[in-house]
Amino acid sequence: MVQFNQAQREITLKVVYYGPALSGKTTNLQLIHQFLDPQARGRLMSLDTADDRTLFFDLLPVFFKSKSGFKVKIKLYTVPGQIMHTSTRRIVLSGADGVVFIADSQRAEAKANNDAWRSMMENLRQNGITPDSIPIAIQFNKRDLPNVRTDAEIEEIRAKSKEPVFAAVAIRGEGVLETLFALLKLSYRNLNAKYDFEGKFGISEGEFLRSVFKRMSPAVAAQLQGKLGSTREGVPTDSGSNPPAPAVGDGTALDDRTTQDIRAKTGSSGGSSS
Amino acid sequence: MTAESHAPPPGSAETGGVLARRVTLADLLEGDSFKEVMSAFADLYRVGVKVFDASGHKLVDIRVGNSQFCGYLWEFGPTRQACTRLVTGLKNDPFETQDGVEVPRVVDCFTGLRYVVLPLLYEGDLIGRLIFGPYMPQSLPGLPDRLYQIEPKLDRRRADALVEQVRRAPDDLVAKLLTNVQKIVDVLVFTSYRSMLTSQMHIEAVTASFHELEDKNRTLKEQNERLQELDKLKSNFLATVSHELRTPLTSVIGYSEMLIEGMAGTLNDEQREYVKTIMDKGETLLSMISQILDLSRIESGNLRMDLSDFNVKDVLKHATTSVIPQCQKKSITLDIDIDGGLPFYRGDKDKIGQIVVNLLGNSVKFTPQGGKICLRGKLWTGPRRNKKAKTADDGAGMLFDLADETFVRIDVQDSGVGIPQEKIDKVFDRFYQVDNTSTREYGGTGLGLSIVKSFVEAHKGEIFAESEVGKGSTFTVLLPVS
Repeated sequence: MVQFNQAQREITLKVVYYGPALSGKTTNLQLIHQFLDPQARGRLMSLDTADDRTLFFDLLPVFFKSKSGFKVKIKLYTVPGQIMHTSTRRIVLSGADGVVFIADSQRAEAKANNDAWRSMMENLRQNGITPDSIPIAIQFNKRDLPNVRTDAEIEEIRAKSKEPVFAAVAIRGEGVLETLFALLKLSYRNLNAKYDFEGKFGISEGEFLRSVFKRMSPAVAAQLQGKLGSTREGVPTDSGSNPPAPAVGDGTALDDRTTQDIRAKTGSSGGSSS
Repeated sequence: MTAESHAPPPGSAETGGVLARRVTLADLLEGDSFKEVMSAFADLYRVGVKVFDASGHKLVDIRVGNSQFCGYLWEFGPTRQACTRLVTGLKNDPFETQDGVEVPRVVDCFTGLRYVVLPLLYEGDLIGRLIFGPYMPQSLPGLPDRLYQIEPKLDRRRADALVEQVRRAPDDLVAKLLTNVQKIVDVLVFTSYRSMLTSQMHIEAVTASFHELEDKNRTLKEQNERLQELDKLKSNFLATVSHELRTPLTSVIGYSEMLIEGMAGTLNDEQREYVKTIMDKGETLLSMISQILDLSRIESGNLRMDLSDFNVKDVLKHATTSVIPQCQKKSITLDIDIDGGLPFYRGDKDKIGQIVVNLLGNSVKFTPQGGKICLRGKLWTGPRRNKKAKTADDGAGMLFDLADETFVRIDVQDSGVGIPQEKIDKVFDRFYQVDNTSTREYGGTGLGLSIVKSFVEAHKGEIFAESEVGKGSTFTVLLPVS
């Protein structure tokens, strides 16, 4: 459930990456973390085990301040894929505003995909969420592996599915932002219809998406622009007005900025006693 | 499982739980350890540090170098007032923002000394502020004249001497070291937030699993109770039915007997043979019905023990008489080996008799033409075979069961078809026959051994079987002599 904090002028959304074990949920978040401007996202937190399997979840917070002065936080979570973590999946899924289902394209994983999908539906219902009432995007990951479903098959699924379907090679970053972009767009529209985001909070769909995807490295932006050229807003890049942020490297921009800010202040401040 | 039973538990994200909770600095940083870190930092740079959380609660307050100077100013009303205003502002004044993100403030004191107020941010939220200072900016030549306009009574020489103790620092250095502080705090906050989430998730996941198991256990318990109830109903039904069946059957047998005895006129040989068959089959049927009745009594807990002291030898001998005709029919040799030294035994004489009759009957049934059956009875001392045979109340006392006990031991050995090893314990189950096809071949209800076991256990005894397929079986009954 989207949370509104009027006093703090803050809106928090929850997006959950769901899917069978080892389908690439964490990889998706890692790549999003890499692609997004460090100013628009926090650290990627992984609660994992010694063998790198997700134990509880990964969490990547994405945030921006709207022109109308609202702080919007989008928390991206993954669930643990292994069967034994059912209760954790349910806890993480509770209150989701949108779900990305990461399916494994390998033929051998078809059953695991189906099982995970059914468990997701069941967990949504048990959390009091009607599956029809929240946006879901489907990503067929690992398109680069042998023995995967063919493009024609994915196309067929796409034609039948009421959810948008994306092909991806998450490990190379292909399809990752497209999926997130589509899901956030659906989530915005869903929430706008329910809570009148535009009217009440003065946040338009364009601003919402632009703020999340702003200041990506130009290469990524161009890549995304090409792929999503057909969407109404296109992909806002802002790369003209802002210096390109480094695509990788945690927090460097923030640190530089602090130094710059202090330098700027100390350089210019005459004697502002308070 | 219903949706209600899995509504998000209290503390879940939906109810503002662990995943949605707003973090405060005080929640995340262990007070004393954080003070130590900040104290080391303040000592290193010889500049004071204060840290407040978002609600203005003070976590750290370390003064270095400026105490005497500030103390001196505090002695005069106007400077004291100015100082109070300044400190309140440092603590409370909002930050300016750039692109919606709070940026550090540089605040110059009325003395010309300088503070930097650093916003502590986590996930873009302002979770606190760090006040660094005061320090003497490198560019400041000395205390400004306006200080003496605020309070003309200040002694310039003393003020100059005291302010010398305040660290003089270039702004560049300050900017760098505050960047480091910000990094350290960020890591500390991130790490403890991660640990907090991990432990909270542990608790929530365990709680959720616990509730799930509880639900399942409840369902199982309900099902089990329902089964027990059905089982009881079945036993009652069996008891009623077998009783109702027995009544007319007794008449069938009685009248047949009267016919055979000629009470209704002399029968010719053929008639007598027919009636005898009716009577024999009637008696077989009666015995089977009795078994069912016995069993239903045992199950409904209505088994009554009629205790007396009796001679076991007599009971064993008497039991053999019931199978001798059948043995003769199948040319089976029946060996009887009963120790003369068997004592009087206190128990239910009829039931012990029935135990032996059932075991012998069972052996006869499964022993082929020309086979051999041996009945042995003796006093025997040794350990029990199955420790669990004693009541569950014995609990830890099982260890002491290793001690030998003295029993009346009855063995019934046959040269019959035998029982496969993996099925040997099941022969005592109700309605069980090793091979279902054997029911057709050998007849019977499959209740005999189950009844035997119940009777043996009613005497706190033990029964077990040893067997080799194709060679025969031995059933052993141990009745404890108290």
